[in-house]
Amino acid sequence: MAEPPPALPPAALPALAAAIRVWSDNHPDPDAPVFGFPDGSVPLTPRGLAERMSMAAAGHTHPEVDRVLWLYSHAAAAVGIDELIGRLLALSQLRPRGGFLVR
Amino acid sequence: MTAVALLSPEGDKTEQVMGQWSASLASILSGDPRYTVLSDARGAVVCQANLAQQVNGADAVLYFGHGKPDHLGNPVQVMTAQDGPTVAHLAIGGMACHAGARLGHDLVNQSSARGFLGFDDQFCVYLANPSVFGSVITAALRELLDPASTGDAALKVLKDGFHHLRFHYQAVERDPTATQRQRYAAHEIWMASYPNELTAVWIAPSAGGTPGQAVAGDHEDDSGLMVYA
Repeated sequence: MAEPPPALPPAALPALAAAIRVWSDNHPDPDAPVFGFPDGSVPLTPRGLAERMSMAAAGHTHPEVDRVLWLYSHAAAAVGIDELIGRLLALSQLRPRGGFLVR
Repeated sequence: MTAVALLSPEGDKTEQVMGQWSASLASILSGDPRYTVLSDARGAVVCQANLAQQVNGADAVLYFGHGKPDHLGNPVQVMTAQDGPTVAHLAIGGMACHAGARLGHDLVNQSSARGFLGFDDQFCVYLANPSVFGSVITAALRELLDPASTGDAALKVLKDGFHHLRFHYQAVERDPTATQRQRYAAHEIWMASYPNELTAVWIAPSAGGTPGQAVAGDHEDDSGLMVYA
């Protein structure tokens, strides 16, 4: 079985949750399903990702929260948690071409 | 000629996206004289009670939907270890979460299935653009079905495909000429590709060690693609 990635350090969760919230708030389609897991769970939207990571940062445990932690732990394992947060915030700075940012 | 059975429950949004991969593959196979699509079952007819009939005469069965470690199908079970005699000697593509962790091993090692291509942990489907992951999945399954190829080669196509997506879309995410929507989408595809690359497995009776794990000699080449020893 593939080695699971290292767990996200609890101390980093609030900053990561905040970055995902900013990313979600600026997402072009915050309520559109983005990720599906063929284990029978509900598809995740950007807003759903942000809500579940906020729950994780507050110490809640739930299978839906675990799924989001699993996803972001892989991303953090790939590039480091600081770069991951930086990339989320960098995306959030973008504006639609030829338009205005709508919140 | 390789006879193929396709099973797509299409019970919810995630399975419907996966059903598009199945439809795409069916279209490709129908135009190739080396293959015949024996059955292309969709919706509620995909269930354990109908499995024997749907795979009767097939050389390979390809499933696209929910899974758990010990079964394909959720909440309606489609295939468990009890179906070993039904799928004996078939190549199985289990495009589902978790089933490569236990079910694949049970079917191959206890019931002589030819092999099982799948995922041994969660499998993340990018829903916003089905064709992005669909192209990787269909390429790997075509390799699995190819009589001149091997399951190991199919696994390599699967892993390399997600690896390529990860690096390609990481670059798109950083591309200042891309639109906001394109860069957000690129970030999401990058996020979902990496775990899929890691958890893909090919389980074969003769495979030594744990399928899907890196072995001595595996390395990334200069282009960033994985080279398997």
